[in-house]
Amino acid sequence: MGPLTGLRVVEVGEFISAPYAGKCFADLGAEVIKVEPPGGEWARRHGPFLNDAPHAERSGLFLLLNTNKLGITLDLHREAGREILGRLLAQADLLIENLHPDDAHALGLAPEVVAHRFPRLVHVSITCFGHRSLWRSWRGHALQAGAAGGASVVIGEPGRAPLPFPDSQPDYQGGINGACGGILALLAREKTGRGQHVDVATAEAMAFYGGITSPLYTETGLPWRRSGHRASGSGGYYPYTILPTKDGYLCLITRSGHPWKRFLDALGNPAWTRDPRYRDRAAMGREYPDEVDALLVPYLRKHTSAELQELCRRHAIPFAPVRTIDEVIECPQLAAREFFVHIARAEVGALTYPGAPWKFSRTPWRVLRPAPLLGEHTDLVLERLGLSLADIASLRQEGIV
Amino acid sequence: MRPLEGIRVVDFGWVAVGPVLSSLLAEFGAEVIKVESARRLDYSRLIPTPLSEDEKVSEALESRADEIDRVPLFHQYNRGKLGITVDLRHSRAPELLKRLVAKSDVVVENFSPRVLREVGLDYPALVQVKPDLIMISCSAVGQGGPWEEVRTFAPSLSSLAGLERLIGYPGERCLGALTFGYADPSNAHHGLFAVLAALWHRERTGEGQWIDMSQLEATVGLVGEALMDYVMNGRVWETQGATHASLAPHGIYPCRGEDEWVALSCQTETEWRRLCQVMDDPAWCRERRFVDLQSRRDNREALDRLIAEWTQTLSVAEAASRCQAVGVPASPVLGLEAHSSHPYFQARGTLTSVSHPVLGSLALYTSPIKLEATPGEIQRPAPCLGEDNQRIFRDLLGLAPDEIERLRADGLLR
Repeated sequence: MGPLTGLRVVEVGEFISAPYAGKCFADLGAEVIKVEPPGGEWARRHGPFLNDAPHAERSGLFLLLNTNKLGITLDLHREAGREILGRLLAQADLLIENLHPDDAHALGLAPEVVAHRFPRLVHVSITCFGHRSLWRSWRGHALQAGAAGGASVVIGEPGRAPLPFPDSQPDYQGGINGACGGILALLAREKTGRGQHVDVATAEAMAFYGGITSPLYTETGLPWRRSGHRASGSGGYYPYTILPTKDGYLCLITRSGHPWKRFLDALGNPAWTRDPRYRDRAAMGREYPDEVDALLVPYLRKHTSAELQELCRRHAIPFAPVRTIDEVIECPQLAAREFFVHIARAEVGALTYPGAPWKFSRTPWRVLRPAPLLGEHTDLVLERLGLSLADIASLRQEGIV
Repeated sequence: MRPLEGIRVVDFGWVAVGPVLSSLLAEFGAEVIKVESARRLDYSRLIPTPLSEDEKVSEALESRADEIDRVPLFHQYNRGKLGITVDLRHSRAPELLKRLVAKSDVVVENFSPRVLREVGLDYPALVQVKPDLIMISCSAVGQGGPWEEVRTFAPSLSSLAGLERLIGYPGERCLGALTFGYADPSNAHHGLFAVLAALWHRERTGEGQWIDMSQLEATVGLVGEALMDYVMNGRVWETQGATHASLAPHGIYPCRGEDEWVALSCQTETEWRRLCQVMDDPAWCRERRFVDLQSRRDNREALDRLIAEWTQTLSVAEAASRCQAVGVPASPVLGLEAHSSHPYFQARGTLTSVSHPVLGSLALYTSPIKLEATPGEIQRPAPCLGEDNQRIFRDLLGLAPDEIERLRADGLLR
């Protein structure tokens, strides 16, 4: 049992944002019914695929984002499909969707329609630009959310193209913001007796994420602009940079001078550290950080990232190796906390997945179920709604489920 | 009515993840009491002038007394809270703070795990005075494990998580996204979700609980595709640039003017055909090498170069709106100035103005979680150091004025 056991969630989600929100609920015990079109949702076609062979049941992204859910198929472009969705929503606490506002409207899921038909239902929409928005009609993915939200403008090198966050990061953040909004609205419903619409725009989530930290730069005259492998103007004080090691990279950051002093001590305080030019961390960070990087690199190049990490841990220095994913999977800390879980599933066998980042003392989290096969739980869910096996067979024949 | 009205939170958070998490609880109606000490200032009060190599925090307070209540970053992270000062290392701190926790619902902390253990204010101690307490501990790598005490900032945390390694131009060195500090707000929201889930559980059952969150784990969980590709195919991802496995084109292209860019992508063949139309159907659009998604992905560099030739003839606003007019996803690359000046963000209410006794009007970012019927609201800036000592110790805990004075003189309330 998880903290959200008993909650009923319907997810009309594809790719990342709404599925990630749905996963957050499912992983904490809510019953999440994922509604896919009869052909399956986008993530099934996105991959990465087992052995690089595209297959709707072998997409790693889909498998990861849909653990613990029930999966049904419904053609929402047809009246009979929408009617069944309505019966599911009548029994649900929460609807999570990431349809474009025009598509939501076309499928009978416009916020005002949902609110009218299901006054107690909480309706979470996660879109790139929002429903109540000047750019309501605009389409976008994680790429556009990061661009509009002020993230891309600070990623990359000056004079070259801005970069997006990799792996569709803004979509995950739209998802977690939507998930939070869902519970906030459920808590409000305890007081008001009514559901409501939660309108999350991923572009705005990114604006918030960068915006709250931006005074670190803007208030000291540093531009919110790309500056390669370091923070803009080193965030005011050296170091705030990523430098190469013998076998990878090290991320060097400190605000306080104490860890910097410990780091130089650990280096054996080479002669340059006594030069006044390299004692003023503000000037080093803002005016000639490349020069200081160049002094450190010969030392860093002599050591592996793991050796440098050990040195930093020993001296309480908050620098860290910029790990590759194989190093992450081998991490002793993650192993000690049993973070990774192993789930067996048809079509792909047993695979390693990240677990939940939360340990609840009273309602511990467990992965109980792998991501659903396409339409795996259609019969189960429709029977619960009172449909007979004959009804379901005819819906299947018509291609509605 | 805000959803969390009636909930009281004791916030031991410091620097970013804990403070931002609690500030969101405040925005949605909780009364959040930030516990600080002049002996160990929240580090974000020292952002403009960090500690020098030999300086102690107590000395910093002396020299920066005028600065610490005015730090804009501190206001973004701590808006909407009340503030009290208690020296956690004082022998009488546990007794006093337990009285406060007994009257509260939630405790938020993101210290290294040893800190609250050492001072006797960890969950096992606090649950004795508040049996249905909800407490979240969201340290860098969680409670327990060989690296329990590891120290991180947002970019070093996301470096450990494997995320920063993916950021850079394809085939070139890793750059990371250090300016943005992505992991902090991400972890604050993951912590928020857990606290809200625990509140929901308490609402149903009357039970509280302790949530042990690892920021590292919450960040590793976001590196989904790279992680699954390694698990399934043994492939280790390096710098990704703007590549996308199922969108092509997918990139950020130059527009007319200085440092102007449009982010543009096509998912379906329909979107691709519409983009070709918007570009006036140049002959290259019909070449075999761009005939379908796989071909466009395989010939991505050539495709990007040709699209850039077109975008460079347009202003960024034209490029984005022409694409959007035919349903092709596109957006200008915007900077921070857009948050205050662009009608899109103005209409969303992304920034709000809050009045501060010394700084005047402060522009603060509102939560992107827009609840239609019971929206959040930022009711005050961050507290000055110890601003609400009287209100909390006298009015809430019922301490007599001479007792408060004695505790202050004794060094507990500072």
